[in-house]
Amino acid sequence: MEAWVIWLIAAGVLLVLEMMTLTFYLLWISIGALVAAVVAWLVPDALLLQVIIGCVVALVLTAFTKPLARRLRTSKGYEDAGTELVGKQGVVVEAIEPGQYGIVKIGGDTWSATSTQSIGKDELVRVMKRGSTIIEVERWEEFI
Amino acid sequence: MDLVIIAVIIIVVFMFISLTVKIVPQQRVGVVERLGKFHRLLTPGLNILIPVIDKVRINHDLRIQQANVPPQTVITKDNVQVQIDTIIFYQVVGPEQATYGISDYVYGVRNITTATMRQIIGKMELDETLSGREKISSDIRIALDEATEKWGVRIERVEVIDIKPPLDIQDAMDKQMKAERNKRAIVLEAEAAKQDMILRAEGDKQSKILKAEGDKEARIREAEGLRQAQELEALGEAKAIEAVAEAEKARIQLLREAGLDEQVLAYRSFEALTEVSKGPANKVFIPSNAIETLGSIGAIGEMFKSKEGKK
Repeated sequence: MEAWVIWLIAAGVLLVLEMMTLTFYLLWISIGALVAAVVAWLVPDALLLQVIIGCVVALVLTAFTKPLARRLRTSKGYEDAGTELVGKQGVVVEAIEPGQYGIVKIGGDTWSATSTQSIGKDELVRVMKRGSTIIEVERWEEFI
Repeated sequence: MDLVIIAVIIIVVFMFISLTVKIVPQQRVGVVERLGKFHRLLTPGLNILIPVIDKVRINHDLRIQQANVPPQTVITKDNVQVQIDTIIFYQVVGPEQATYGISDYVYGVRNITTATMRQIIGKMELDETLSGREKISSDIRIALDEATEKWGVRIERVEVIDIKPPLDIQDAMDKQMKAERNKRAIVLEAEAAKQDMILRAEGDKQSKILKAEGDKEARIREAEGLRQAQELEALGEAKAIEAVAEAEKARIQLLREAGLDEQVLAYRSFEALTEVSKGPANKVFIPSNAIETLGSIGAIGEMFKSKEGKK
């Protein structure tokens, strides 16, 4: 069996695996194997050279993933409901006193809230800031 | 020898590349440590790591997760032990804090929820706990948020799935319910009986009154009839007496006209005396003037005889 045939088979197998697993890096390795197959076809005897060239190609391609990743990152993805809380309107369920927690209902969820003002029950508030579980609110009218 | 080197190179490169490229699926996040220190978060999408110095410490799921709390025995304000079955919905909102703030946040969330639940149920009466879902949810909110703020975990909801009072309490509840219904039934029956009696009495009263009125009317009519009849009778009698008196008067007049004298009278009284003597009595009382007349009877008889002799 010729060396380049083995490389080609390896490249094909890796490509199929990549398609099945979606790990992305197998694609680079498969391309590296393909390059190695070309090298093996040109220089059939230098096995070590083939391996090294293939590996270098794979590594270089991997390094090029970073700009690609940055471009993909800007694309639109799913937005978690929790992250988009700031600026939303809520209703006070339990009165908020400065330095104490009250409860605000925002779109069906209840949140503990603090405020610099004291806000009574059933008033409308705007979300200013969000911690992990506690939000900071202000009276709604002050923005209009 | 060559082959071994080739194999080693291939394996190393393979591993290196595989550790460099990381694809993180949506709503998952990885915490990356660079040489043991927190470096950054792996956001969803394609990520590049530097192998050897970067390490993914843990992957967090950012979706809302559910944890079933095994049934707990809780004592309510009115000292009833209830088995309470809760479910917690929580979400990791701060992956760093969830990694470094608490060792095992799932366990922590369970424990804090159970403890808070116990405290809240302890302030409620049994009947309240059975129907106070809203109250439990809002009461538990602040206590949990204060605790889990530092953990990077937000407990969205705590829902009470099931509250099981002990069997004897359940029995008592059943009994109470039955007794309530029985009471209602009995009261209704009594009401019905009362109404029935009242109606009957009313009917009785009315019928008696009607009867009495009828009697009265009948008597009055009867009395009137009687009065009229008596009046008529009296009238008739008066007329009869008058007629008798008239007849007597006429007779006397006729007697007078016939020339009633001593002899006729004497004869008559004699006849009457004979009638009297025919009576069953042994003793006959004769008025004194009658004796005189009797004495004269012989003479009279003589007179008659002589008259006959003359003829």
